[in-house]
Amino acid sequence: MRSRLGVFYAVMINELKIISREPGGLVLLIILPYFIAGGMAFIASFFTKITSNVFIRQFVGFEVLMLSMIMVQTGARFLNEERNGGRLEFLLASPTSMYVILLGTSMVMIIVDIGAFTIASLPLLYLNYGLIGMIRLTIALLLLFIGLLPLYGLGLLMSGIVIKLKDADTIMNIVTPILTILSGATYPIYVLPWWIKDLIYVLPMYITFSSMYMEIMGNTGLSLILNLILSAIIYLLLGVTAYASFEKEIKRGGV
Amino acid sequence: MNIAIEAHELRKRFISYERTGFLSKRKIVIEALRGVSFGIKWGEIYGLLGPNGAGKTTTVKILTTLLIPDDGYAIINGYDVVKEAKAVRKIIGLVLYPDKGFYSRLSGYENLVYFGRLYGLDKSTAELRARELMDVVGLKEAMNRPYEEYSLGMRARLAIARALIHDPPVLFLDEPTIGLDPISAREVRELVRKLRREGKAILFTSHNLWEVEEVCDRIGIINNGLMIIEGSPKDIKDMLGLRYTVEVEVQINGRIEVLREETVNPADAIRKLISEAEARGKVGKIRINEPSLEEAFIRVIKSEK
Repeated sequence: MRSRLGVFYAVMINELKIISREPGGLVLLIILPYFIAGGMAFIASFFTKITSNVFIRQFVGFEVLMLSMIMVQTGARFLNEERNGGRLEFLLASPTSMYVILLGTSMVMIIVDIGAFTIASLPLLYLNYGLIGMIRLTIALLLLFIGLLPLYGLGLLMSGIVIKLKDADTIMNIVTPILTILSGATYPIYVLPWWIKDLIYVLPMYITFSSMYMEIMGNTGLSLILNLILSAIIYLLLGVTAYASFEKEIKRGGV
Repeated sequence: MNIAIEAHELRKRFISYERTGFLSKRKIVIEALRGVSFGIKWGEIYGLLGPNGAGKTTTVKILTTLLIPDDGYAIINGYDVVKEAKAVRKIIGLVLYPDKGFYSRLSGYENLVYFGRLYGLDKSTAELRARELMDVVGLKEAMNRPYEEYSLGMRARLAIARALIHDPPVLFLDEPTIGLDPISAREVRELVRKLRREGKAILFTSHNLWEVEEVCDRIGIINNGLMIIEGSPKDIKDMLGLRYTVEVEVQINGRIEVLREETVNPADAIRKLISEAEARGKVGKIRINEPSLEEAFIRVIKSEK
């Protein structure tokens, strides 16, 4: 167990080193939600009054949406890059399980994402809610952590599909807009028909966004948090099972 | 147990598709391996040879747990490559692509330490071993430079260092000297021989047949997924009845003539040509051209066709 943790730590440090040597993406992650939420608020201000709550809602929504996409894509993109770089065979031929490698890689993304969210939202929440906003932000970050776990499960499922079909770009270009539309994080979902709403509730993005937003507003929803934990368990199980089946299949057909 | 690697009747088919029109395609079955068997002893270098598409890489991938065979089995140091894949992975080192397979933004040293950690070495052991190996493969001066700045030869040497990071008793070296300059290639061959002296079992592939002849104790030639011939380079040449060319120069009234004979028994031919030359004039230079492994390889593959 100790050695497995050691390997897990090594995978994380390795991924962190690689990310830190390409810092452009991180900067984008921090400033992009301001641009998008700010731009939307600017346009909307021409026909309605924009309150700080509306801006925060949009800001959190876009941040959750971006982080969700990154989490879902991390595993698949990682495997695709490893295959193209000729490293996948060496990872598969090592005694370390691919789950450890994928979890380590995704965990770094989770930490980086949470860090980016913290940096991006800190000034906004402090200006609006003062110190109490910082406490709410801490709880919201914990909820974000839980919310990223089911997305890791979805990411594992995507990873399996990518290594089976050997085409990360096409798959991601299909999956990303579908998940974006069904995120429910950047628009009011109450206007939608029931069947689309149900679909949005089943996916983890809306529950993550909603529980975080409610927490920041000071209205913690226990049922939302329970839903979030349940969703983490279900999607992780789904992802692990699907990936195991796909990995076995590639060992029959070749990397 | 004297045998390190055993492959028994390995069979593998791949399903592929062939374009038959603008959109239409046809399913085809590729028989990559059709019952390949061989064994490698401890302290032995075994050369696996074959033309492109013969099944060498498929065999290496099965033995390194990257591919599951359709039929047959393979044992490495007593462990089944399918049923005990994790135990096998701990005791094998692998060179697959000498020019890639590393993280370009990390230094050669950082790459080695990382792969050492994946093989279960603790941090300090991985760092110590990486430093030692950078020295062994002649990359000590460049150990902290990013991998993306390495030349092809440096990358190939780093690939060998990675295969040795956990000091495995079994090595799979798939064309380890490709792209290396003659001096580096010679150093790699010397390193491979040193590893044999340490008792490691090594499977070596290369298209450079004189290199295989120089390094390998035994070789196996495969073609179309079948093992065609197996033995030491000398045994194979003998089995194929390849002939030596014996040449003896003779000086007759200041003019030089060359007496030549192709034979399977060079000693008898030399004696015969020397006595013939002495009878005609003064004996000059004597040359014996041994048949090369390349000739043996070409003959085996052509006879298969």
